[in-house]
Amino acid sequence: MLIVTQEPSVEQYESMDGKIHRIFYQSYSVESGFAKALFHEKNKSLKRILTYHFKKNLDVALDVDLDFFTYDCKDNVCVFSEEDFADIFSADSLIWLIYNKSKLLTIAIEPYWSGSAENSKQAFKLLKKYLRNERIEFPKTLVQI
Amino acid sequence: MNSSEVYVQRGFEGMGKIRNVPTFVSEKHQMSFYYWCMARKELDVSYPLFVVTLDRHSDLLPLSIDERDKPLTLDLDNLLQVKDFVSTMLNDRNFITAAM
Repeated sequence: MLIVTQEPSVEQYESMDGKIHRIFYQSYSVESGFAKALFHEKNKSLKRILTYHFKKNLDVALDVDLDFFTYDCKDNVCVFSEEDFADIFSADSLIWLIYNKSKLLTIAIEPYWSGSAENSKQAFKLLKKYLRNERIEFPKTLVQI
Repeated sequence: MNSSEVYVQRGFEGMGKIRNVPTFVSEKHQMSFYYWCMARKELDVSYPLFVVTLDRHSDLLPLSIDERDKPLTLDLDNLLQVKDFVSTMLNDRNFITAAM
């Protein structure tokens, strides 16, 4: 499932083993307070689709592109405020429903789409803080893939 | 494909308790796909995997039929093939989105 700014839809693909892989979109609009609303426990749409898929007992991965925590401001890209992060990661946020079931966490720094390397570092710093995870570090070791 | 900065971490604390959740940090979002496949081979992660992605764009969608120059088939156990897929078959709709 991708939580993106685009229109809600479903796409599906067939892998070589014949399995069908579906991509669901949960859209949101980038406007003031959206993040709080998106993960608010009263967002029944998101809660319903998450609960539906969790019942399948599939392993879960939480995948975060740091540009998710940015928005267009004037001619620039700005990082969400600390208050926005506090809203997203509030105690009753649906983000914990996902996070606590995750067996894998992937984070993409995406400095270009986050506006700058500084923006990425700021978003990473706040993500680390609000995940309450002191062990997650901004990349120090570079591995060539 | 372009090189990617990657930092692989294992184990982190969340919500006050220690959880052994592998964490992969990369520069390019498309690399996440590679790590899901790698986890399938090397970690205790079963497939199909339910992935919840938080993103402003759609970095991880395959190219549309019109955009593909070859069939969309992939052997998830073949990480070389996965790497090629990540670099050539995942969308660059980012650019379309940004231009709108």
